[in-house]
Amino acid sequence: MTKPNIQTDDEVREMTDEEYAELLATGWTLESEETSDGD
Amino acid sequence: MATNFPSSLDSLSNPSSGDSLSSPSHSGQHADANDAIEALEAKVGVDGSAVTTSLDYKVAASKAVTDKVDPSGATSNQVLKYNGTKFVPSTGASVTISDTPPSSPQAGDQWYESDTGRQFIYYDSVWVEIGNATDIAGVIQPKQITDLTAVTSLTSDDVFAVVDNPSSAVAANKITYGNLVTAMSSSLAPGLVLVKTQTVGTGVSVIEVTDAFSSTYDNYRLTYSGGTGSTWITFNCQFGVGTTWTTNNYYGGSAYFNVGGGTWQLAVNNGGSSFAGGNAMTDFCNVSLEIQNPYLARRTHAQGPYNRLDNGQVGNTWVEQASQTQFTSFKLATSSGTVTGGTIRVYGYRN
Repeated sequence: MTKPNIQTDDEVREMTDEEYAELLATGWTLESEETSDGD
Repeated sequence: MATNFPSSLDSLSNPSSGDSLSSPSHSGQHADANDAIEALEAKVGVDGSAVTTSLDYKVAASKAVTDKVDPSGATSNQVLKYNGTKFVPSTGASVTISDTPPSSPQAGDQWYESDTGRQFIYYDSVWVEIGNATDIAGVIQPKQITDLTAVTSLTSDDVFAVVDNPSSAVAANKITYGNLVTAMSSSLAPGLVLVKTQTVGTGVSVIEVTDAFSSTYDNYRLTYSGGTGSTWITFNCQFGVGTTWTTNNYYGGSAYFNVGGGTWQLAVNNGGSSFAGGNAMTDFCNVSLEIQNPYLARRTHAQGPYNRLDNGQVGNTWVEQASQTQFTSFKLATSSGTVTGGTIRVYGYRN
């Protein structure tokens, strides 16, 4: 899977493997869980 | 021998005391002398001679010129100017380079105002700016203000496009760019001042905003709008210094109304690694945080909306960052998916 981008000020680049691992450690997923009970 | 004068000088022979009257010829010597005398008379000319080659004619013509010149009283750098009767000393039409108008100007004098780059000509007893007399199609002429009473407190000579009228160009209290900037700066009202704008790229899950906070302002407003999410997103936010992020001591949480359930709910954040600072979905991004004291060596606080409409949650979020770090940066990380586009803006509250 392609890693998402990280942006610092005006510079946008693909995350490094280390940065992507840190993001995954936060519980990040590509798609959110559908738990809608409103709207 | 015929005389050569005035084409060249004659060479006449003088007889010796023992010479006879026939050698050299006595009559011939008289004839040569008479020829030379007649040539001299012709060269000098008679009184009032009309012969243009005669000296009498030339002297008279020269005198007619000098009679028209009266240089008495002349001083350095003056020129002779004809006054209708004679040529007399005059300063002439001068060009003065100065940031103040020259004194005692004469008609036709020019003045290059060295601090503004404008040029004037003295005309009808006033300084008239050259090249500013009429409007030219397609050229924006400087606006003229004729009533200076409202700007009498302005004294600087710096340039400003609003030009006073020519006669008051010599006034000390003219409008200047420097004075207007100073006046505007001193009169700026307290309020929001844009500190930074950052356009978000494509497919981004982590956005770092550096140089957002400084000693210039104590309190800030941070907004993110115009972008879209790839899915339902909560922005997990952190404060930092440069790109070093503080990952603990976030206290607070979110209180929101569950539309579907008809109940209030709380999400507690007790010393967590980040805080929920906004949301996004496929048709919006919404971060609108009030931030207090991020750069002061105090605890930092932030408040803003929290809307997870996929979960029917509408409310607000509050956070206290319990360290006393002097933060300069802000970070938004998506809880899931990515965001694309939109603009993050940071405003400072000017006191």
